[in-house]
Amino acid sequence: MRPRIDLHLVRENLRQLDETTYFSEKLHTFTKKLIGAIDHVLAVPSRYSDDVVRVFADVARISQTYLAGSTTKEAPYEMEYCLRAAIPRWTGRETLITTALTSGQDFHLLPIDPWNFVATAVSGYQVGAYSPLLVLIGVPRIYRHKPIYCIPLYHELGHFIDETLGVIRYSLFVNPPPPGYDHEVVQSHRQEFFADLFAACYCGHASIRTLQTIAPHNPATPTHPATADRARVVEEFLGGIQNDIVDHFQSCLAALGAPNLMPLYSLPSIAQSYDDMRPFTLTSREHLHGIFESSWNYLSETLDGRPSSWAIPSLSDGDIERVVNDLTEKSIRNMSIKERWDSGITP
Amino acid sequence: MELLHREEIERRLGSSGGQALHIEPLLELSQIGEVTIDLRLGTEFLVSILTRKAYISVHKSDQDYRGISSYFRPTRRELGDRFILFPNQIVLASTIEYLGLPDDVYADVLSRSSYTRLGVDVNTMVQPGFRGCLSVELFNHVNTPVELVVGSRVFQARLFSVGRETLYNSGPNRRKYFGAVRPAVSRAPDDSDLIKLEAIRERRSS
Repeated sequence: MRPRIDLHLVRENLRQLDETTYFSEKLHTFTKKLIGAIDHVLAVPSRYSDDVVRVFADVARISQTYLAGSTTKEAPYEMEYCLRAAIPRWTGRETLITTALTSGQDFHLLPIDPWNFVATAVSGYQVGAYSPLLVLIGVPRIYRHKPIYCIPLYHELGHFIDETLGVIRYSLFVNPPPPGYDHEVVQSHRQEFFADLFAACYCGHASIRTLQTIAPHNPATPTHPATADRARVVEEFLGGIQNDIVDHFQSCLAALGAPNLMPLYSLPSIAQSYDDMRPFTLTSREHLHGIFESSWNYLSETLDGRPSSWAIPSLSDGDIERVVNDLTEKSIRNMSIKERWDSGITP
Repeated sequence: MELLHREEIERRLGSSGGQALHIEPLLELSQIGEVTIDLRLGTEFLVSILTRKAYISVHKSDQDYRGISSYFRPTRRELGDRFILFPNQIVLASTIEYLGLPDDVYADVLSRSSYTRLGVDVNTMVQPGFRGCLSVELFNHVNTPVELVVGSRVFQARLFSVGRETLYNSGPNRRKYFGAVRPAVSRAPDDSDLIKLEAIRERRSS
């Protein structure tokens, strides 16, 4: 397909998206600006080379795919809310999160930056100071209402923050792989360790329990360290035990002028509310992130027979899981609703 | 049976134990009226859709039985967003508030008169001890679409003390809609009576 025709087709799709009412105002603005940039490129065919148009069409197409995911109105907004709360500590850049439900079992978090491309390659179009990053979260459809099972998204966010800050790039620069080690393997393992530690900053032990549940005995592979090694690093980090990997990342972050890795959560005492089958009233960011570990523990204990007023013998494990995940989702949703309500009251 | 008034509602909101009333979140104290509590339209909806099937069957034993959720499409709005309710359309919604009713109090949930006058009529009741966001069946009785705003006070609940504690959650059987945080479709096909009634029908016709 010719690049300009590709770009033209992407613009048609973006226009259709822009006409849907099921869209937030920020995403409407993003879409309109992107359509404006495409209009500019298509207006004078000789102005930009086919190579530039081809890459731009690709960037715009990916953006369009991400944006389309947010029109389905099925997104797990509660997880978006939690991740949004974590991002500002690490980057001041505006980030627009969109969500797509996937048919697979894997989570992913993919950033796309059309404005960087526009600023560098589409020189005749002025975007000004507008440069929000678009981030697509991919969540397996079966976990749409299962926040406790969405903890891996914090790990994926860790990869995004790593990429944004350049932590592993800097790490490999100051501490290159020893002779005989494969550069890509070392890079992948460091990326995974960093993302694990990032997730642990917010979800504590629950971040690694998830991995231990999914893949308890996985050995090291070219892309991932062994589960046991990953668990040990996280446990030592959370336990305040000296660990060379943690120390190395802390020094990289300091050199990059970024905040350090540290527990950014506290565990809310949810048992009294959950035992009475009521959501917990969250009032702080630390509790917002900490509810994942508290809920993980509560669910595990209830499945293992911990008594509560509602977990009667006729309930299946599925019923118990549903109640605990729903209470967690509603606890988070209530906090976001309260926050929005208060923001409307403030002049 | 006694209708709870503001003083008693506020007393129960601040208490604990089986007589406590929980409303989470209660965005404004002014939601509590003299004898009612205003409740807000929630963020999630199940919108009825037309399908190839001529009718909704409640008999799971029917050869061409389809789950009731297949007649509805889920959608979601954010606080302050609008939702259009079309004439003759049923939409299952829920309240923003998660309710924990006392063990001795049941609730009648109605549309506020401002919305009843627009043709949006709601009338449902909630068992003592109920926990969850209330599932509400929205139906537009007039011939003009009606715009509703997510988070607005569309419903009101009257609370009645039944004079004795009941065992909503601690009975031997699971409740159909307990702990719901989003609208749920009808679970009429799970009614055990339907199996018995079907057997009666078959015996009669054989």
